[in-house]
Amino acid sequence: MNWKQLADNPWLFLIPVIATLAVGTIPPTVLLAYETLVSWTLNRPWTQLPFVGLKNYVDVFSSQFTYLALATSGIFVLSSLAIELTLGLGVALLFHRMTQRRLPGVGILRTIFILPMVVAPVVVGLFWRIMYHPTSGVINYFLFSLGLPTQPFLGSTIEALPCIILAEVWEWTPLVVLTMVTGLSLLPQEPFEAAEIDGASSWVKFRELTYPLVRPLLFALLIIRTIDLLKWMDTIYIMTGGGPGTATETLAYHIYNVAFRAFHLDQGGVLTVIALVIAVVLANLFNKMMMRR
Amino acid sequence: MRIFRSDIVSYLVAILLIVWVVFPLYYIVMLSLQPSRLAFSWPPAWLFVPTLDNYISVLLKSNFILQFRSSITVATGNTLLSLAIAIPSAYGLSRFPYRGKENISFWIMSARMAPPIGLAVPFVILVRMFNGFDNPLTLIALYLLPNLPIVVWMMKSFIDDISVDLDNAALVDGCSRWGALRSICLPLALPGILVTSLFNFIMSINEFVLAFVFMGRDWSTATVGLTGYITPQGELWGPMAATGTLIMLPVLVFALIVRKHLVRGFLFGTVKG
Repeated sequence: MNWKQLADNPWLFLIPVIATLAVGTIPPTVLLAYETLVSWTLNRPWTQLPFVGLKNYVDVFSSQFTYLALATSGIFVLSSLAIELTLGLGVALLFHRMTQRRLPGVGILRTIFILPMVVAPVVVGLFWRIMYHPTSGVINYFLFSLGLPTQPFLGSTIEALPCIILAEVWEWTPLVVLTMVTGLSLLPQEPFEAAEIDGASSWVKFRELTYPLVRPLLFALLIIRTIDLLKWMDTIYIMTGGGPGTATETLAYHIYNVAFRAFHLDQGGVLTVIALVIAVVLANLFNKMMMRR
Repeated sequence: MRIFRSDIVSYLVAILLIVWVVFPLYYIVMLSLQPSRLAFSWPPAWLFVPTLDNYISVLLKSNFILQFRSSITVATGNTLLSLAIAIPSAYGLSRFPYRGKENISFWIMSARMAPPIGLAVPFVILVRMFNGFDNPLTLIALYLLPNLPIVVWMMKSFIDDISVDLDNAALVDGCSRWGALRSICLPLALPGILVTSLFNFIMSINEFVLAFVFMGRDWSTATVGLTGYITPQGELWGPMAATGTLIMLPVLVFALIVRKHLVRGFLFGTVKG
């Protein structure tokens, strides 16, 4: 084997990424495992930490706040996904129809829909925090003008989480819309024309033709959005700080509170392990579902 | 063309959607231009003589310029680094049939699965070991973890668009694979490289959690600075809105430049639109 063949070995091209990600993920994972097995509050040097076995795991799994955070995350992730995907698909079908009818203006709509998802999440949180303000907020002004009772919004344990979900839906539904519009425009036209001749109803066409064809894309969106929603804390930090009480404390936010506000990095480590396991399991599961037909 | 009643309904819905998307953006820019005495007025002051007072106070009396410089430094450094690492690999993934390609993909993606705040837990030790607190190099390196997977797949999808025949012609002419990458693919992929760079840049500017944990007085970024306005004593909407607008504007401009390819980035190159 000469030098040129050696230099052109395909694996050589992958080395930069593999090396970077290996350095960036393997040592932290080992350290994370170590941290969960010792007693560590931030003031001790990390080499002299007493080994405590599985105590941190027992502590985390016997704390009601862990389950509360998991439940909050569950509600947050499931509702956001359900709204984003259905609303996004609906709007995409509308845009697609407008494109097919050659109605002008779809290009402008698509450009406008790009805006929310590139704004920094903390800035989005800021918009909504200001608009939700209980006494001077513009949303309460609209409610008041319509003769409806004003709401405490982020100050209420019941309303705070739906308010955060709404901000999330505002920022990320456009991603679903733009993806599905592109996906729909790539569908073959013949089956739809045939169905038209057979006199199939719109619902039948959607169920039998559109849905099976866009299903892989929907699953790709499902995987990407689930992982992102599980990690989410930027807007929560600026809108509610996890409150009132623990009303908006998702798993990611709970990690922040435990590790960086109560300085229990050991228990924060255990919660991170939980978050990682959930993300990997769900990603694998959706991947399998996507492959199976 | 015949106009159906359903077309009119489509437009009505479209107008509602535009209002829904644009209103928060409009409202924040409006607040940033309002004289401070009107900020908490009820009903909201829709019409007023716009003033730049809030911007002047943000630029002169706060740390914004310093923090924005920090954001730009980190975003530029990270973008250059992640493109340099990603391009050869993207070329490889586009041109070679690797054994176990599925597993490689999943592994590269898995770098994005941990919540950043959870990632921060073990990195506290590593960052302390390398004396990396309040050092922009720390963020330049750490942002590789969330950004690199996206950049690799986005670049791969752009290189996929370049015909393999061109590579093969270069190889027949005696080029090595690296030579073909440099002299054929790089020039042709230049627009893709620019789009990917801007995408990476936007993601870095927008990041909050890691900057919040690891940066301190000197290198805190603009997104972290924004949260400083929220205090138990109350909040100043004018300067908050002005800071938010200043962070958002450059990003919006970049996003409009790359608008055709933005979805490609968010979806890891699976959709080209």
